[in-house]
Amino acid sequence: MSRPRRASPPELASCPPNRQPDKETSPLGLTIAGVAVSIDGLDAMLHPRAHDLFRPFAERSDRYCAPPARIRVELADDASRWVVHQDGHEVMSTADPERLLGYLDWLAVSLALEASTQYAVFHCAALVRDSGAVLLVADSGAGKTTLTTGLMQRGWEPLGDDIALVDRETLAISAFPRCFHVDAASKALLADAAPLDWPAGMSGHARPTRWATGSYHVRTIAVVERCATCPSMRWPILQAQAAAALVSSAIRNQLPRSDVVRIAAQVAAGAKTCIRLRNGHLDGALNLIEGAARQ
Amino acid sequence: MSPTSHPQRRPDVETYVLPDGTSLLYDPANEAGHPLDLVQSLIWEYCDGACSADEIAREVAALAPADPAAHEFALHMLNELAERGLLLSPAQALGIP
Repeated sequence: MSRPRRASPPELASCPPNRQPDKETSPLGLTIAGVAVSIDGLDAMLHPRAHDLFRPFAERSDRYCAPPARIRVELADDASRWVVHQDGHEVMSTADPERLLGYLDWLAVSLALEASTQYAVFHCAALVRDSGAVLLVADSGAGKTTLTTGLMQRGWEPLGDDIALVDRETLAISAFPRCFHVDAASKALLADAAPLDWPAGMSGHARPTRWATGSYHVRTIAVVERCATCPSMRWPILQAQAAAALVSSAIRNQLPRSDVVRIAAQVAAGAKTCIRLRNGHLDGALNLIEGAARQ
Repeated sequence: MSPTSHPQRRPDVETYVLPDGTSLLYDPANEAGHPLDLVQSLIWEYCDGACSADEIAREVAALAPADPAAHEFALHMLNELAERGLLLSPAQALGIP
């Protein structure tokens, strides 16, 4: 089977300041973690880019008569920049369309996750193969995206590289198909055959060519720490240590904190293997994760 | 913590016992999680105000007769639980606000 071809990041279309306002398009309706989000005011240049960026979350906008999270983008009076409003308050302005779209990505996802009551949200990568999911719990910069992409090249399917949604009732994880945020250092580590597409005009964003479908229970938890100069190593840890790491990585939302802790404990209780992973050499780290997942 | 004091768990601290015998404590006052291993979990269970610190330590030592440091470890762990604020202070245990 041939590997998916890696698309080249497209050049960012220029957007000169003081441009004439384009005709406003219909609101962009999104469903993120079960929460409706509407982005209004996108002009004809921004709308298709935003739609591409949010593609897996995009819904028919006529379902969004009263979304709980409403974002509005307007061109400033002097047409030199875009201004983002949330709940009637200005929250950001920029003349750079890539910065604007990156901010909208962050704001829409943040608002939706904060409003979510169905999921406990953890700052983790998650992947699945053979029906069992692996959670990679790590701080920013520890290599979640690089490890996720490396595992995808080995046949794993991603559930997310940065956010894991755990259903509060079933404790199962389903895909959170947000674009990966790939910095230059991570990009340099990725092989050309990385199964990623690059949304138009978003040089730091990449989208997997496939996502896991369905929902999965966690079989392996790896608490990851980065050490670029160390060999990759792993140690077994207690389920309680894995649970505590999950609690530390939890992102606040409408779920009571005690529910989130209970969910973290239950997820750890269901895991067959819990490890601490020192993420040094990439191939070594990937081998160690796969070895832990086979136990 | 004095060996004669009777350590008592704070009632608002949540305890989750995991299948491998370890426990996760959650302190809602500062939203912190505290993982406990098997022996620490056992010590935590003893902290119901009925036994003194020394009695708890002797119980733990009796379960590990080959470990000469078990008694001292148990006392150390009780102090650590107290320092983390997971136990009632002596005044709180007596109901003094």
